[in-house]
Amino acid sequence: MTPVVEFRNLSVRFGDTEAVSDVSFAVEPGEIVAIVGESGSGKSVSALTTLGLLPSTAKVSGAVSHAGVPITSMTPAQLRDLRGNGIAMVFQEPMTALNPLLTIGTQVAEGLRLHRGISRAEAAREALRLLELVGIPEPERRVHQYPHELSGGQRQRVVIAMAVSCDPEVIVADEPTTALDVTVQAEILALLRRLRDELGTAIVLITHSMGVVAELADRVIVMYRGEVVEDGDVFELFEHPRHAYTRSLLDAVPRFTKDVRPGPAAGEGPAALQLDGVVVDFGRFRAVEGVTLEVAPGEILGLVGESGSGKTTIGRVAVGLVRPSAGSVRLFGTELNGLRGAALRTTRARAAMVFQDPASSLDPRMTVGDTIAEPMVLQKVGDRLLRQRRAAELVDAVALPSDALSRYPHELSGGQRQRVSIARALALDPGLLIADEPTSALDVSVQATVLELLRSLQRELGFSCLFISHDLAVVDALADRVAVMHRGAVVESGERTAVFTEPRDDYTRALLAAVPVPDPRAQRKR
Amino acid sequence: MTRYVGVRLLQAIVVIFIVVLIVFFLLHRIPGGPARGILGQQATQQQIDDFNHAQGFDLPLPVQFGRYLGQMVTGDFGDSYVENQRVGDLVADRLPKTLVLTGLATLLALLVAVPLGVFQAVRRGRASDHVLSMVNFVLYSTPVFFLGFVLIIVFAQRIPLFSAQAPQGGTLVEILSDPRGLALPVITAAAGMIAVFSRYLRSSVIDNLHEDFVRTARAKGASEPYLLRKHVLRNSLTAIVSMIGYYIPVAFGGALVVEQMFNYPGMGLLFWNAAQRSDFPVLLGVVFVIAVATVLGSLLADIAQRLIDPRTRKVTP
Repeated sequence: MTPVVEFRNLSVRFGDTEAVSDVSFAVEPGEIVAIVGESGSGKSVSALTTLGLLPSTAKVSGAVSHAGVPITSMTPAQLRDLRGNGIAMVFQEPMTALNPLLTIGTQVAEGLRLHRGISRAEAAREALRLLELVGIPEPERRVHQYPHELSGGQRQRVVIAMAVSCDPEVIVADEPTTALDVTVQAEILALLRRLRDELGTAIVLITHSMGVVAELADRVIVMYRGEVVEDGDVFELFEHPRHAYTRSLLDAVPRFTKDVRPGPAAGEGPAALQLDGVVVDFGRFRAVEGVTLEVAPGEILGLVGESGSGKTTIGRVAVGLVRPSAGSVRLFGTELNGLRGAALRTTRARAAMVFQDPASSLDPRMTVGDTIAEPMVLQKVGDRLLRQRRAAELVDAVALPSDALSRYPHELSGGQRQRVSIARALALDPGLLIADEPTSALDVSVQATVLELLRSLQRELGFSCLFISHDLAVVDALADRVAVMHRGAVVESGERTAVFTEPRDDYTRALLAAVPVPDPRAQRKR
Repeated sequence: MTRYVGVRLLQAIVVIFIVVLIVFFLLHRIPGGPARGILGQQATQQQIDDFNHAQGFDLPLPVQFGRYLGQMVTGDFGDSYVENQRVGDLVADRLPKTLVLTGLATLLALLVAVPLGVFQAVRRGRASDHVLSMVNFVLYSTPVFFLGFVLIIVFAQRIPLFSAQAPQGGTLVEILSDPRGLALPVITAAAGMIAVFSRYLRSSVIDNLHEDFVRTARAKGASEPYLLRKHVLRNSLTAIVSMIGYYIPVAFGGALVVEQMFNYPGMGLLFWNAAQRSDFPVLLGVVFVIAVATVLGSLLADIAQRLIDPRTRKVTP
C-alpha cells in the first residue's frame, strides 16, 4: 500500500536555525503515528509541512508527499484542494480555533461547501450528521449556537467534526488535548480512536505527553532538536527505549508511586493557612462553596481539580486577593477578613505566589535582579546593597547562573524564568508559598527539574506550600497531603498515598482513571 | 437587551445633565457676560444692568440654572440673543444639514478606508503598504483648514471641477441637489476619518489574519479572498463599528471648521457665529445636542456591536 503521508529527507530552515533536519518516515493508511518531542523539537513544524502551512520565511528541502504526490511542490490551488480534503488538521486550542462570529453548523460544513460545493440545505444536514458522529449532545440545538456557548471539550469535538467532514485519509492533530482537562482529554482520545476504527482515517498525533502517546498511538516517532531519534512500535518503545533521549523523556514523566516519603518535619505554631467554610461568589456565580482546609507548618498540600473547580480562586483567597463572601481565612493565625491597608499588606507578605506562566508573570522591562528585589522594595526591607546581596543569594538558591541578575526575561528559557518567579516568591522568606500550576507551561524534562528544585528548597527552608495543579502525577510527586476540588467544593482530602491509592469519592476515582499513564499495556486494558 | 438599553439610557441622561451643568457654569463665568457682547462697547452701565435684569442674569447662578433646566425639559431652550429666533428652531433647522454633511463624510470615509485598510493589511511590509501609510500620515497630520484651502485652490480654482462655496439652499433637497458644492466640504471632512479608519482597520485585519480560526479555515482549504471575506473582515469590522460611534464628537468638531470654511449652513457654523457674539442660549443648545449625539452614538455603537458579536449576547448553555 502507498503510505498516506511520507516524509523523505525533509529539512526546514528558518534563517540560520534548522527546525527540522533530514526527517524521514511514513504513515500507512489507518495508522496512528505519534510524534513526540519537547518544545523546539520540530514536531509542529513537521505537522504544518503536511498541509503546506509553513510561513513563507521557511526554507524547505526534501519532500513530504500525500498518497505519492509531493506536497512540497504543489501549486496554491492544488494545496487548497488537499487541505481539509486529503489531509485535515486538528489544532491545540479549541477556544480560539473557531470563528466567534459564525455558527457551529456553518463552520462544520464549511469544508464540504468549499470542496464539494454542496447546497446550504445539504450542508446543514451534513453538519448535523457530523456533530452526531463526534458525540455532541443535542446536535439540533448546537448547530445554531456560537462557539462561546460550548465548553472546551465540545469545541474540540466540533474541530474534529470539521476535520473528518470531507473524509480525509489523514488527520494531523497538533496537541489536540493539551488545553483540556484530563477527564475531557480521555473522552477526546477515545473519540479519535473510534473515528480511526470506524472511518479508517490515519492520524498523525503531535504531542509532548507520553501518557497520551501510550493511550492512542500504534507507532511512535521521537524527535529531538529537529531530528528523529527513534521510530518504533509503541509497546516496543515504552518497554525497550533504545535512544538515550527517549529514556530520559520517559524518566522525566511524573508517575504515581506507592513509595512512602518521609513526612514533613512537624512544624510549630498555628497552621500556615486555615480556611473555614469559605464561600466565594462572582456575581451570581458561586466559584467556591464552603471550603475548609488547612496547610500545616512545613507541609505541602496539593490542591487538585479541573478547570472551573475553584482551585485557583482558593489560592487567591489565601493571600487576600479575593475576599470570600462568607467563611474565615487565617494566615498564620491572623484572620484576613476585615484586614485592610497596611495591616493586610504586612500579613500578606508572609505568603508568596508563583504563577503558571513565567512568560507573562515577569515584567519584560525589568532585569532579573530587580524583579527578585521588588518584593523587598515594596515591603521596605533593607537598603539597596542588602537587597542586591539577597537577590544574588536567591539566584544562587534557584540554581541560576549569577550573571542572570542583569538579564531580562526574554533572554531566559521557560524553565529559567520559572526559577526567577520562585526566587522572587522566596525574597521575603515567606512562611507559605502558593504555587498555581507552576510547571504546567513547561516541558516535561524542565518540569522535572523545577519540581526537584521546589522540593529541595522546601526541605531546606521549611516553608509550607499550597501547590495547585490539574496534574495528578505532579501533585503525587511533591505533596504530603492532597485535597481534591470539584465544582467549588473539596470532595476529598487526606494523606497523599491514601487519596491516590484508595480514593473514596467517585469524582476522585474518575479523575484518577482518566490520567493517561505512560504505559501502553496498562492503558489498553482500561 | 431591553434592560441593558434602559440602564444605558439612564446613564446617558446623567452624563448629559453633567455636561450641560459644566457648560452652563463655564459660560456664565466669562467676564463681561453676554450684555457687553450684545449691547456693544457704547452701552452704559444702566443699559447693561437693565439687560441683565430683564434676562434674569442678576439672579444667583444656581437659580438661573434651575430655570434653564425647567425650560429645557419642556423642550424650550430659550431665544437667541442675536437672531430673532428660538434656539430650538435654529437647531432644528441646522442639525439635519450637519447630519447630512457628517453622514456623507463618514460614508465616503468607510467606502475608501475599508478596502484601503484590507489592501494594506494583505500587502503589509511591502512598498505599496509603506507608500499608503505615508499618505495616511500626511492626511492625518494635515490640519482640516489647510487641507480645505488646498482642495479649494486645486479643485475649485485651478481645475474648476467643484465649487468653493457649499450649497446655500434652505432645505435638505436643495443641498443634496448641488453635488458640486457638497463635494469639497464632504471630502475635507472625510479625509481625517479615512486616515484613522484605514489605519485602524489595517491593524485589525493583520491581527485577525493571525487568529487561530483563520488558520483553521485555511487548513480546511479556503482561498485567501474567501478567508478575508468570510472570516477576517467581519471580525475586523466590529472594531470599526464601535469606533464610528465614538467618533461622533470628533466629526462634529471637524464640521465646525469645515462649515465655517465653506460657509455651509450647518450647526458648526451656527456654533461658530454664536461663540463670536456670546449668544449663550444658542451655545448651550448646540452643546446639548452634541452631548446627546455623543452619548447616543456610543450607545448605538454598543448595541450594534452586540448585534454583530454573538459573544456579547446572552449565553444559553
